[in-house]
Amino acid sequence: MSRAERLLDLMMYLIDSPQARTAAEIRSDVEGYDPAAGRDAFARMFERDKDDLRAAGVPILVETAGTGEAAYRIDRDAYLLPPLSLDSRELAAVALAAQTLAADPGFPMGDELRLAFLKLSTRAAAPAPRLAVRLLGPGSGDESQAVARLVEAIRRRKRVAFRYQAIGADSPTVRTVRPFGLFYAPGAWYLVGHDEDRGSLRTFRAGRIVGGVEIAKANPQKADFEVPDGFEIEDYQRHPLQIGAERVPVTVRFAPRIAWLAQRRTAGMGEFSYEDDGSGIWQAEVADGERLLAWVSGFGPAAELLFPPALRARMADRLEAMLASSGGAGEGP
Amino acid sequence: MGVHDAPRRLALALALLARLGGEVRTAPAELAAQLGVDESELDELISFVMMCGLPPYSPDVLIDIDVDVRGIALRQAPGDALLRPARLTLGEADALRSALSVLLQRLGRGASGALGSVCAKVDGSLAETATGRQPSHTVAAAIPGAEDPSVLAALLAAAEDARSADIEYWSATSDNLSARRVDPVGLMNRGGTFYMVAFCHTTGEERVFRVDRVRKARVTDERFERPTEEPDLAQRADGSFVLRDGIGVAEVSFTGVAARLATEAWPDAEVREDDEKTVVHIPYASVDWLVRELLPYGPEARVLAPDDVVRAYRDMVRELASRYRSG
Repeated sequence: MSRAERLLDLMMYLIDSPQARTAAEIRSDVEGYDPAAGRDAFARMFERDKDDLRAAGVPILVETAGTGEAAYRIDRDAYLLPPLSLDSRELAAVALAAQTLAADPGFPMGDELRLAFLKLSTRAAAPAPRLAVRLLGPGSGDESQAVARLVEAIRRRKRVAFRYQAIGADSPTVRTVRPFGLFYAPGAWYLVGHDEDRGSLRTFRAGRIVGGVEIAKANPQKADFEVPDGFEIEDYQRHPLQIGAERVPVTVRFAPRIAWLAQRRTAGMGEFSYEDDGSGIWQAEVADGERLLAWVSGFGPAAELLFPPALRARMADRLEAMLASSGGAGEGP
Repeated sequence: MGVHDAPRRLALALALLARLGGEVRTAPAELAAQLGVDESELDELISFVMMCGLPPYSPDVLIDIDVDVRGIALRQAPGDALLRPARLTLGEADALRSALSVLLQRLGRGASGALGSVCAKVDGSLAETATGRQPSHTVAAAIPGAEDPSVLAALLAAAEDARSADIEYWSATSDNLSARRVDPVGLMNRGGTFYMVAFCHTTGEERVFRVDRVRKARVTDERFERPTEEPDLAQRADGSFVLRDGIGVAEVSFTGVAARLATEAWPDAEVREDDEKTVVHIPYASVDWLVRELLPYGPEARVLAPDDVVRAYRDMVRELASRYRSG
């Protein structure tokens, strides 16, 4: 008999049982525990099975039986959601999400997503979606793996350690982090967590993790930390232009022919308005001046940073340096 | 998906039972695909599940599954706790919630109300179930892409219904906005950017369009015939993009942070690492486009070749510098 069979038998037995069951009852009732095996051998098998069930997300509660012995039951309501009732449009939306993202290695919970869809779908087949999603794009296998490990650590509330290549640093440094949640911004996953060495909440780009993510091994069944009260990952997601310490009000003008595109790229940050000639004016607060200069530069002559003067001066210096390195310094305009 | 790993096999077995409990007779190939296993693994899974049941494991309390030409169905399941109504595990709900949220911000709340309402239902259930102190889900995704959600929804609908669409498209290579009629075959999202694969009536061939550069899109009443050999969108999204109208490959050296960013930006490009610098060979379809792509890297980027790109880059930098100097 395979271990998976014994696990399913054990699970069916505990979930069907009206009361908690002692180890002795489990040993004699559930198929697969070798009756000839000694007490210690049984204890080891049973410990491992409980670990595996917990790893599969099945909460096993330990209670005290009338005899004073430990007794076990499955807390069905801490494991399974109340049934969801979805209409046909909602099921189609679930199908779209499941069929596009379960196949995407850049989405960290594909297997569970596939199973969720399987449980919810009432129809035998859904038409193949006319959409393929690869959240991270090609060549991002390491990042996908790091994100999957982070999801595991977040759920188990285990501390993680990884080498992190901060964008401005010469070489990667080891970080020890209590992982609280992940957010996705176009093209990249970000981890939000408490950096233990720095003693504060930080945001890490998963793609800059070098090598693997190590999950703390001590006390595997116990959480290492509690997420602070009221933490919701939604409150921490930031546009890349808003990740950083500064708070600089800026104004940028965009030429009429691309103002609409520029407005889309500001992703709802700040205020975007149009002048009579069709030019776009964007006013916002950014947290990283250097990144803003790069972003504005990408529009070429179609964008001009109007405010503040200090950032304009930095842009001028930056362009002078570019001119010098491209061999154009000193030549008059 | 390894079927030999016990917790994983357990999860598959539970999903299989929930699915079969829905009394839909399902073809083996389809069921295997839905589970993410191949058919021989499905056979193995079914035989394993049929060995399981409740004490005393007599035939009347074992799981029994019926496999015949019409498909696979559940004949007997002792105790209904694992079956209907199918209930998601917390992990599955988290996965669904995360997937919906990633798609929601991509497709837009207004354009796809159904995604939003499933999200709300899952959230409601999770809130009832969650242990209170813990956040109910691990993933958020509400930073929108640059695509207009209504454009995206219109193009997806056009692809699904096989209807032509009229679009206003800004070409980055020619820096020009033009009206075109297209027959959208499908959409792909690659690294956060949406692309549309479509037959373009204007150029008379299949093209890949960036959806954020579609300013407006209107689905017409005109139906088109789907190509006999439809492109495999997932395969396209996985592959490297070949520039159809590429006119050359530029050699650009990057130092410091820019080197890292450039190799992230051009993951497919040929790269040569020297002591101090990283030389990236970047294919391009338009000199103007390439220059605009390089400007964000600042002085840490230097164009080495070809000469016309070196000159165009220098001229552009000089023009911009004079603008900021005078202001």
